[in-house]
Amino acid sequence: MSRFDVVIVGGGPGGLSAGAQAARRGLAHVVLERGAKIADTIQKYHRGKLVMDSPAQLRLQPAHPLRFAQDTRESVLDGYEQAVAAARVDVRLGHEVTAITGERGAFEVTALDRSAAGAGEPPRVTFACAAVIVAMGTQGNVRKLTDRRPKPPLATPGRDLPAIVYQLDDPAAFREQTIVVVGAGDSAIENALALANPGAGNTVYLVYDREGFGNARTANRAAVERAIGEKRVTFLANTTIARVEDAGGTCRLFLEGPEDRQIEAHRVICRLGADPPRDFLATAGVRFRSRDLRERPERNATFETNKAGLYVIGATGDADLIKKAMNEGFELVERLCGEPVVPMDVERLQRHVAAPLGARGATDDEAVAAAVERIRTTVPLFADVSALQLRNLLFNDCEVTRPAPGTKIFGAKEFGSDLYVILGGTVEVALGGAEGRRIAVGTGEFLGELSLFQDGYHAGSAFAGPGCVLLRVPRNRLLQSAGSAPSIRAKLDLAFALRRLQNLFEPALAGADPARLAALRARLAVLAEQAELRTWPRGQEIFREGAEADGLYVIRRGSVAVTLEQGGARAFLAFRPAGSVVGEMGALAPDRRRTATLVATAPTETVRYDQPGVVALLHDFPELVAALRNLETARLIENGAHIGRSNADDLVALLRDAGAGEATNILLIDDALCIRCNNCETACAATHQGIPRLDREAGRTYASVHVPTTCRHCGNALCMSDCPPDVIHRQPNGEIAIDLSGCISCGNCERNCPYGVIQMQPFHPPTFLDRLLGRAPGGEHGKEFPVKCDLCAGLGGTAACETSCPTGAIVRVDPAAYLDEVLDEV
Amino acid sequence: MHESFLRYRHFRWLRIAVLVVAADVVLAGAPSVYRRREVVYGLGIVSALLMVWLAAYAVRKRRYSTTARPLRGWLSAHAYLGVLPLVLVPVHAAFRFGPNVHTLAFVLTAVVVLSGMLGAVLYAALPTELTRNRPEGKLEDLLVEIGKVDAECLALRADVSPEVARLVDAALGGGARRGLRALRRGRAGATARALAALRDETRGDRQATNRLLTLLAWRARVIRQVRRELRLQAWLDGWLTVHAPLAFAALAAVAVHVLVILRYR
Repeated sequence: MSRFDVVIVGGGPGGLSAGAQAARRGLAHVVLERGAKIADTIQKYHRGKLVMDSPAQLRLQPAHPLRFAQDTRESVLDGYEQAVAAARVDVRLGHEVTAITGERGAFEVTALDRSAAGAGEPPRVTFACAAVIVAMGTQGNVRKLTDRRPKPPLATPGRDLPAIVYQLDDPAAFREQTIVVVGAGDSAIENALALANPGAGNTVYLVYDREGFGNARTANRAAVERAIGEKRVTFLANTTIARVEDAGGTCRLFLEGPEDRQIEAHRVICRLGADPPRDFLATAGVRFRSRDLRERPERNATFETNKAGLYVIGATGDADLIKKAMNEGFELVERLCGEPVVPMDVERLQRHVAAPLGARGATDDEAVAAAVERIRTTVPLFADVSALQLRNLLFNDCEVTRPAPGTKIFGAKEFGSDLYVILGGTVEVALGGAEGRRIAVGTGEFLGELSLFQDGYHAGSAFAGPGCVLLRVPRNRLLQSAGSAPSIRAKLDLAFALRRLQNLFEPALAGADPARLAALRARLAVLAEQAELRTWPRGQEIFREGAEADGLYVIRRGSVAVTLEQGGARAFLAFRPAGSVVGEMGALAPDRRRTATLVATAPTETVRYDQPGVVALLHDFPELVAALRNLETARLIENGAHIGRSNADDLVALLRDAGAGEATNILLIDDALCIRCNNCETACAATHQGIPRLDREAGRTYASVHVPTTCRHCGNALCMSDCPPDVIHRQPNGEIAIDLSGCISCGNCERNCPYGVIQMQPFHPPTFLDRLLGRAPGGEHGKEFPVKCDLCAGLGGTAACETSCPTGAIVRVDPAAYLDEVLDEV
Repeated sequence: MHESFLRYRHFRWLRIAVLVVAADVVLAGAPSVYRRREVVYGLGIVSALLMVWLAAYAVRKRRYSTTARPLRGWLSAHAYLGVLPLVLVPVHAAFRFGPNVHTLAFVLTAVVVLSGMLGAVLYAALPTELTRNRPEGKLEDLLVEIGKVDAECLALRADVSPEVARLVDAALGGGARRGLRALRRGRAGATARALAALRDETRGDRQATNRLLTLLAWRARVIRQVRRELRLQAWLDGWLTVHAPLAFAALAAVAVHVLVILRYR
């Protein structure tokens, strides 16, 4: 048994980086890779896939022994192979590490050596070493077949049968077979679709123990729904695989769900996602912050876990991007060798976080560490994340500012979806409404959680108070972090549930005894903690008139239509966007029954406060009834004006199907005024290099409102959801803009838009020279770029289509304002 | 929320036009005033400038990147103030007309104004008709669809008896566009005859016969819609073929009128 300075577990970008630098520094090292080739996760990408090198603002360590830039899977893998060979890294392929034992200075890493071809149990090899670096990624720890009905969940009996696999290498290898794909995420869908290719003659089942395709990308969801409609794939929702039995070459699945059945399958492909290799690390003595399976292991700023001498880097930590993992590998080895190393994120963090915060240290690195620590201890939202996780979040476009007292941070009805965390001083929030209530929000609190869930405009305005120090966190960055830090997500959920209750009820106790206010706050906190979060697909009924009320609802995301049945016809009462409180009438009514029907007009999330809790609260705090009653009376008057019109179907369809329910700015044409002259399209083309972003004639008509094919600038826009270079962003005026200079022409946005408003066009974004000379950009070289409505960004707030309409048929509007006006007009 | 050009800013330009017409009517009752040299010239200059400004709408309509007032405001003013030459010019001419270039200018102007009024009426009436006729989709796609149905009918005609097949041919009239022309020439009867023959058809393939019945009936309805749409659209666009060229003719005649007056006064 030989002795090593360091054993590196995992031969991906992180592990290879550590290995290459260890080789350069002359450390006795070995990299143990389970797969037959290096970088197993990248090997499993499909052929020709573009490997991204985001984030752009992070550079690879200049002295890094490996190179990496955005390229195809093949080129990236070739690059690694060559660099690893050149650096003389000792990589042992086919070595699956099964245990790490021992202490700092005296670890033993045990592995099964599958590299030698031969039958029987693979030989067990042990490596003695001073330190262990775990760089395993997450793809080695795929979620296995589990019965999630009992708590805690049970391993499905028979899940280790050879017919049950966790990846699909080559769909073309399957012909005339019965295949069950388990899961409903993107990889499950992609596998099922590849197998359901009509030429292959396979029978494909998609089995999932929950509702549907909520987590999948829109394009995948649409494709699989089409395949199900065409009976190429059979989808069994809410169905659990209770057990699997070997049936000699095939296996028999016992399914339990809406209908119990058995399927005899040649192959079962489970695509249930992957987690950090928790059990493995836990056995080695590594601690985790919570019991959530997505949770990352605890590690300090030098990537060391609670187990001294055992380090975790890469995606097993939370550096889930290739470049980050590579830097971590390099930096760790440098530190182990006692070489000074400055992390690549220090420069940006020093400039945008530590310096404005006033954090000091002997070096920039120390100042940044101090700043991160100060933020972590000041802000309860970040209390349960590690310094490294917080540092990663802060690096991603976060910024600390010190606005002068009175400076506006954001205004009501202004677009913006950043979260503002108060690191010092206070912020004054002015809520809309006649009373013009101003609330001081103190250090450690945050603002903007509503627009975090619903990307739209702010409900109130915020102004800097004395001594204000602010941390601005961009929405998608925070949501990304929340994915690997469950505590952040949970706290944001709770904060939202509590804030809405406070906004609704606390004004009613203004000027009351502070003790009573404190009692109310405690009660609201309990109610918020017990609140139930639910998602509703577009068009789903949330509750029905006459049903028993089950509580008070707040729309957190999406929107709803309120309708009322009247002698067979349906009247449209109101449109309620995200942030609205609904269901208050049911909570107040003596018989506790619903007085109207609520339909989701976009993919919607609600927070429900349980009815008994709400009723008890109103009983103990009778003064709150007035607050709810005010809301109710205002709405009854509004409703009264609309009852007796049977317009619900058209308006609900306009909201639900045409996208008005999720739009922030939609183009509507009054068909009674439109003379079909197409001046709108001509104007659009004339102001956009000859390519119109509007198709007037296409699209549907609801009553006499025509919705042409053009961008709705959706809240929670799907085009943004899967943009690899992340160049689609909302502008302060509400425009969803694509920055073509960073666009890689992948076409995801075009595919993901549910309304077909983005077109890939052979169009070249204006170059600097074009701008300088004021000339039209030339066409490029076989490349296509997404083209969509930009709200005429260059025309200072007027849309050319709207101003060029001779008859006034076109308006570009916020749908909520439009509906208010339409409902009041008639 | 939607505000028609006719109602623009609570009929601002209608109110202004009504005031001017009222003043003009008062003036028309006072020959001693309107025969005064400065009034004659004044009315003439105002009318001529007004006509030039009205013609400038054609330029404004094509200035797409302007951030000035919306086009519907311009059209509103164009429509209501455009009526004024019709009442100002006769007073300017002291109601004297004759077979000369001066009267020609007025006649041309009158035709332009009247065609404009027709246009306004069409703009108000026809859009709703268009929606009612065919609320959904692109015409282009529909024509492609008709082409596909035609192809399917042609394929199916092999499965019915020859005499019925001939009637189907007559109903199709060869392609969607030629079919449109054929229908206009009274071939609508051809579809009716083909449908009747298909209904009585006993010899041909049952499935093909049924499918042809559905397809031909669909085609007849859709082509009716398309024709109506094209006719309505032709009205919406067509009045401009009188209005716009004659507006330039009128401006030219006014220019001649002005030159003649200045040269031979």
